[in-house]
Amino acid sequence: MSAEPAVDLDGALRWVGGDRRLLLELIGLFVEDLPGRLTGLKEASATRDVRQLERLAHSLKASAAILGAGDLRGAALALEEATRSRRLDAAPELLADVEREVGRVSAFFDDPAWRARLEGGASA
Amino acid sequence: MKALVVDDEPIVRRLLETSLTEWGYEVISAGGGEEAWAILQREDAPSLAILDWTMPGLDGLELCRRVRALAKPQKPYLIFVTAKARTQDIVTGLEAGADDYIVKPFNRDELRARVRVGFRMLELQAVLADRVQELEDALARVKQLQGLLPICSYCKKVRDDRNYWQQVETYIEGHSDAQFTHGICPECREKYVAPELERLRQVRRATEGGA
Repeated sequence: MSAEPAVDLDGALRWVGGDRRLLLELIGLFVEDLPGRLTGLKEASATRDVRQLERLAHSLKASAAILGAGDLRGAALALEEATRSRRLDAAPELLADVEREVGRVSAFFDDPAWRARLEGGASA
Repeated sequence: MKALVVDDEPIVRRLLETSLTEWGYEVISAGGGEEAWAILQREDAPSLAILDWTMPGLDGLELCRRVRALAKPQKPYLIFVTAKARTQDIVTGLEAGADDYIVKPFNRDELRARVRVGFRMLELQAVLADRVQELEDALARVKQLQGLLPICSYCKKVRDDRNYWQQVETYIEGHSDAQFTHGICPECREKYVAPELERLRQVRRATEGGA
């Protein structure tokens, strides 16, 4: 989808006012929640629970934005808007986009390189 | 200064908590609308709250309406911090009773400035409330001295509301902040004091003459 890295650490650091320790903590919370969020989205989609699907997509969007995961934010936003306007036929495809972006973000954080970048170099 | 943070997203909640603490505020947080509602009803409720809109259960909008309907003299200052960014959403949020509205993801400096405005408004409100109370007290005292007072045509005593006749100065002292210092006016000096002094002189002359 995009050649850019899945997460813009510099952007994320700006959101938290340059507080690296806080950003590390927020990333920890996010990574921990991510598999559960995806499972929740899939369940809501499978049971056609529109309200739940919209809500989960909405909150994923908010967290992704803070952590600089722009593509994931975009995918979550598209899913949220589709469910809000009850375009449910589009939901499976949009959910697949979200899942792919969740994969990219997870892979980004699985690679310890980001931690070194944050602690060593990412400029605020 | 105490602030409440209400958001079901742990990351957003953490970010808000840390920011507010850093800026010197005391922070309480709630992960949902029901918990926040319970906190805001307490006697020692925070005076400013930052609310998310979309939450499971009691959402921010309904929470906002409930807080506005509270029978408290000083209602908390409410700031929506939400990803709902359409103009219609902002209008709905403010009309439900929010004092301010910030779109997520928020800029920290903007949030800080708006929180400061909130506390400034609260302070202003408190000062005004004190002034109004002072004026109401003063007005109550003025009212006590209004109306038709029954007064004796001869001795000038005043009849109070419990049917006792009081010296006029006792009555006024009891119904206002005024106090009396006693003196004698020139006319009364002439009318009462001079004859009395004259009488005393005569008594003394008579005594000396007799001795």
